[in-house]
Amino acid sequence: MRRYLNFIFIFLLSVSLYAEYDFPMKNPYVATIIGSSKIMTEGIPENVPTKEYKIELERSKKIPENLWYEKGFKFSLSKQKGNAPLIYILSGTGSAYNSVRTKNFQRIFYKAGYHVLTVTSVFNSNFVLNVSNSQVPGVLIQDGLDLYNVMKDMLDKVKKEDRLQIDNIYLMGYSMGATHSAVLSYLDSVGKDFNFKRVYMVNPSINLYYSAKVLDDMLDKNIENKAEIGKVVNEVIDEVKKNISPTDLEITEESIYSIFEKHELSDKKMKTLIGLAFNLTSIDLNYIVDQINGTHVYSKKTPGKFTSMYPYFEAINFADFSDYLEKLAYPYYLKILGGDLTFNDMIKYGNLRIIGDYLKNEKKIVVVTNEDDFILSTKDKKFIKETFKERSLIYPYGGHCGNMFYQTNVDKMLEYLNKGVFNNEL
Amino acid sequence: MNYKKIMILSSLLLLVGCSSIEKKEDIKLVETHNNSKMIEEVAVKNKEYLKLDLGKEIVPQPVIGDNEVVRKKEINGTKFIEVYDPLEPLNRRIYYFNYYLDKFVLIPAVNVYEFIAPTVVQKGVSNFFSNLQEINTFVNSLLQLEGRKATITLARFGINSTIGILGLFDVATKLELPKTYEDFGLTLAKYGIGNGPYLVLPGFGPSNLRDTTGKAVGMVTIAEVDPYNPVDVNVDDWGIRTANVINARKETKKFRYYGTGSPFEYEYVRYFYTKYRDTLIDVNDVNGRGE
Repeated sequence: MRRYLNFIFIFLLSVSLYAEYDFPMKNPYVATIIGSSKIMTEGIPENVPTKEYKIELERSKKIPENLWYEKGFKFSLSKQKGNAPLIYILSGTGSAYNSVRTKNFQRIFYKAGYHVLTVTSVFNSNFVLNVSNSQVPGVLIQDGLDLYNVMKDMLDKVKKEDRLQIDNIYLMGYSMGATHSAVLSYLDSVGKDFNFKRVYMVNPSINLYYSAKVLDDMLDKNIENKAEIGKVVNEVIDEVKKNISPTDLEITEESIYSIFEKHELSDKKMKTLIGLAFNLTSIDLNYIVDQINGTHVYSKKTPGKFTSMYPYFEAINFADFSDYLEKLAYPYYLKILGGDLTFNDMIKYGNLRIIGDYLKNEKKIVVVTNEDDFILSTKDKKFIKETFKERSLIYPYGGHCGNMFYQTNVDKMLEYLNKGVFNNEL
Repeated sequence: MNYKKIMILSSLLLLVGCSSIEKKEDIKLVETHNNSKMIEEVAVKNKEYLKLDLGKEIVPQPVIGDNEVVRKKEINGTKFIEVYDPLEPLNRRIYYFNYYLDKFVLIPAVNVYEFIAPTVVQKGVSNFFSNLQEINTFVNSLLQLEGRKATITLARFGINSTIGILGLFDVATKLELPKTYEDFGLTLAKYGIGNGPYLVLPGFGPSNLRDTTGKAVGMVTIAEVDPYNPVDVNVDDWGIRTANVINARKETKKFRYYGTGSPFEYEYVRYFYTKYRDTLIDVNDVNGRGE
């Protein structure tokens, strides 16, 4: 009987908790597509003062001529007047420092009184070409070290050039950037260069391979074959014919999303779209890594500055993240680590569980995610709860990153970063 | 001399939990930072964190929870992105030129403009040119025998040029006269003229032979009509032309050459431009372009 009462109590409690969280988009795909790049917070300025920087590293000298525009690692700073806390924002998979979502966080944190440094994802071409020591990203600790080093360079540069006055340093990341925040915090516990005061993870991936596979499959499972991608694109365009404007010529993950803002689509179509957006990142990754490592998996030739890239695009043929791991990353790490490395071994280096003990005991890290975030497996969610315990909060809705600019979420994030108070209830 | 490199390398190997595995000679890891001490420390710590049994055969497990197996389909699906582009080598160079034109001339000019001109002025300028474009929409609606569209456009132009003070204010839209868009390129398309080869125009960006012709005709049309001649405003004036260029770039400012960071940007832009024009043709066929 008592157990029964307990059950009712918990049920009622959860209902009341859920009821308090009024995030409007209950469908995880709608949330992901629409919510993830849209500010749903009052009083955030449209533009904040932002200065762009470029660091030329050793590796920058070797940028191939067809990728000349990637020379130098790029980032931006939004600087407060006088002394202020500094926060680094780590971007999601493949996103650049100036992608819509990273910029949204930049606006939020600038408004909240922080100096803001925005950091490009380790899976972005600019990072792979200029920073990545392996040139084959995907192993968490190694990618983390690359990030750690370049973030030091970033800080040195802005301190020197802009006489930036800072008190404490904070760190946050979303999506894969959140995963990297955890790794960075771990590395900093040894290196002590930043002494991050607090670390905030938003919708991390726990197992990079699992997450990437889910996203790959969203495209793969919803089309008959790759030749159908053109048809999907046409359908997408048909849906939006009345809303196009010349600015839609900009091809980014976000612009594809924003095209869909006003439309109701089937889940299947939305999944395809999310998968396709992720696929664009994977295509670039496959190509860049193949070219700069000279592995010639997709093409035997190396293009010049004005060479037509279509044959290379054709050769890549919408290769996805799994292709990247199988055809490029695994052979590379097998070569470095010897013949005993299995594919599954490698996958483990992309799993946050490798620093699980650290995360369990590090009081300054908190994590938020969503019950319906499809990049997490049930096990991953369990891992989050067990590892972070009261330092974790799982919102009922929001899909993947769909609710991170929602008022409740932003308030909670700022409350923790500003005051160190993390109320893990809704 | 390679002492440091080797140390870094072996630390990295430790780092990923496989101290017992021999390194291979052809691995190139470039040390860009002086943090070998830290790497060592991390490596030591990692012995605890990376408890991986390498060398053991691990039975591959399906990573995804459900059982559906995704068959790899290798059918080539990129064909749809192809666009007729025989002048590609030249186009790519103009594309490159446009990047520098943007960098040193257009974008700085737009930035100055946005800095000095109040938003309401910018809006007025944008309306002014948009109103001039109505001349083209009108002429081309006539050419396409779209009487209703032509009439509405003429009414819009009349109202905005007078009450709206030379088009600075879009009064017509407030009066619920819908704005539509036509140009000579679209008229040619309507009468069955194909795209022709893809072209990148200096300063203007993506186009094709048909649309370039259309654009030229459109510019001449507006200059010839010279609608504000009676009030001594010459739309072909040097200052107005400059303002037109700056305003046009401002309106597409989100697009930057090489701004996507993708090695296939040229291909994507070419495809999406073509798709965009095709779509305009379709949209105009069906219901006119409501804004």
